Order: sequence, then structure tokens, then C-alpha cells
Amino acid sequence: MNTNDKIEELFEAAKRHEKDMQRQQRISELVDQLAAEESATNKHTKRRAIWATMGIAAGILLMVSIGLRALHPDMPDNTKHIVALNNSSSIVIDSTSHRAETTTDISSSSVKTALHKDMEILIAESAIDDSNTATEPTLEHEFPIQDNNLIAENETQENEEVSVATTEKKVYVRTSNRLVGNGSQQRSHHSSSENTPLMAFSGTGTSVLYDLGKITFNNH
Amino acid sequence: MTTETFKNRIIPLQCHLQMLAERMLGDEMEAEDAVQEVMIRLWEQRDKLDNVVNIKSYAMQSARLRCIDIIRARKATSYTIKEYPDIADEEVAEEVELVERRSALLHSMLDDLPEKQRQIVKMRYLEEKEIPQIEQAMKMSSSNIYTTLSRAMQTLRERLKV
Repeated sequence: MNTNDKIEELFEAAKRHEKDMQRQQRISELVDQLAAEESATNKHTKRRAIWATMGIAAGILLMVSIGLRALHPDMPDNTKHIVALNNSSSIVIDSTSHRAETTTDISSSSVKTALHKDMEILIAESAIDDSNTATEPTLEHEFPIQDNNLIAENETQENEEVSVATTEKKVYVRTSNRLVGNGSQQRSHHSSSENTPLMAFSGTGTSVLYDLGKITFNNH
Repeated sequence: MTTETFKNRIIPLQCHLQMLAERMLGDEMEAEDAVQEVMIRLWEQRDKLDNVVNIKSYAMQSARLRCIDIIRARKATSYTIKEYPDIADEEVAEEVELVERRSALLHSMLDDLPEKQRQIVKMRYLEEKEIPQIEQAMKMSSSNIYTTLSRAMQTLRERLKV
């Protein structure tokens, strides 16, 4: 074999080696992709297991509270919650009728709250009157949410819809800013303590998020 | 088996699998597809691979069987297992080693060339670029490029004779 042929062999080998390196790189990227997909699937399965656990925990809490109510008739009815929006306004949420009533003049936009009840997440739309009339609460007892229950408070913009969604132990507050025109942006996310349900409230002006595990009920 | 271990132990076997598949299938692209399929299957079985004594043999046999499936499908007639190209693992390993040695030798010879000669030789003979592309990249005239190539190749030939 002459020298030119030998040189050509060397170049052919080098080209082949380079191709092999590129193929290995592609396979490595494919493996990374497969690993990431597997991880996402495992997280989804884990999330569902955690939801089931949280649902059972909420169910147990409900049973306990019913039991305690039976033992102590003076315990307040906890199907109605007052959520303080800001210093001057509050909203009453009835988890039985899924109605919400405002005490002051919140602007006429739909209010969505997410509540845990047994194993369901309930989305309730408010019954806020579009005529903007204030409605006084008619409860015998009030259950003010303490400041230390508050996890987060976000300012919302005019015409901005805010919704909340819970997953694992986190709550995502999302906004769709109509001024921008499309899509929805994640505003923030928050974690609950232990496995207690989170209650979130949003509307024009402010969105607030409470950890029900930290709520203390005061009987006035 | 973790992802990192898979990348360190299994993916480098690709060159052996590719060599075997090309010899069996006679087509580079078809071999590449077959090897990728085998790699994915090995990834799906990675937890079992920790118990395999000789992972390289296992991978080679997986590739061999995959190639046989492809050959059978291609032929679309009965094709007994004795009729497929019988290529031993050792034969493939020798070829792969030869490729790696030759590639390493060439790169060490290129490293001894002056910078400009090395760049032009790589572009022309490894990257297979056309002369106008090299002219543009190196900002040199075609006659200069040809002269440089000629000198570089002369040096490489003399190196080989030594």
C-alpha cells in the first residue's frame, strides 16, 4: 500500500471516529430526554398520591370538627368563613352553599375561591351583586382570620382575572392580564405547612392566601 | 443503574454496535437507526443491566438480534438464523480499535503541523468543505489554499514514512 493510500485510511478512520462521537452525543441527549420524561411521570404519580393523602386528612379534620361540635354545642358553625380582603372589606364564604357575599363595595368582578372539602376542590363563583350594593353579613358568629394565617397577598390589576390552583403542597396564583391580551402568567406559588388545606381567594384588587391549618376560631 | 452510569458504560459501546450493524446490514444509516433502537431498549432495561456480567456482550447480542430482525423483514422470506452474516464480537472489537488508533495517529500528526496548515487540512479532508468555503473562512485565495494543502500533505506523507 502506498503512502497516499495510508493517509487516506487515516482520514477515513478519523472521520468515522468523529461520526461515532456525534452519534454518542445524540444518544446521550436522547437519554437525558427520556430520563426527564420519566421523572415528570413519577412526579405526577406522586402528586396524585399526595392529593389523596390531603383529601383523607381533610376528611378526618371534618369528621373531628363535626364530632367536636356534637360534644360542644357552643362551637361555632364552621361552614361559613369570613376572609378579610383588606382593612375595610371582607367577604363571607359559605362552603355549603358555595356563595360569597361581600361586606363592602368590591368592584363587580367574579370572585373565585378554592376550598378543600373532603376530597374535592370546589370552585365557587361569587354572588357579588353587579349593582355594587353592600351586603351585611348575617352571621351570629364571626371567625376573623388572624394575620398569622396570611401566607401571601398580591396586588392585582384592573381587569385582571386571578385564579388559583393547588398542586402538591403548593398553590399557584395565576393571572391573565387582559392588558397584555393573551395567555396566563404565574404570579407566585406558596407552600402550606404540613399537609393542611390551603384556602385562596382572589378578585380585583387583591388576592390572598391562607393556610387553614393555622386558622384559629374565636368565638365572640 | 443511574443515568450517569448508563452514559459512562453503555453509550461508549455505540461504536462497537455501529460497526457490527453496518457489517450485518450493509447500510450506514440503517445501522445507525438499529443501534439507536438498541440503545433505547437498553435504557429501558437499565435496572436489569446491573445483574449482567458482561454488558458489552449483552449489548452486542442485542444489536445482532435486532439486525437479524431487520434482515428477515427485508428479505420477507424465510431466512434461517444460520444465513445471517456471522461476525464475532472480537472481530468487531479489533476493527473499532483500529479506527481509534488510526484516528489518534492522524490527530497527533495534524497537531504537529503549523496552525494554518492544520486548519485547512481539517476543513478540507475531515469536514469535507469545498475550496470556496475554505477561501471564505480563511480569507485566502484558492491558489494559496492549494499550496498550503500540498505542503501539509507532503509533511504528513514524510511523517508516515518515518
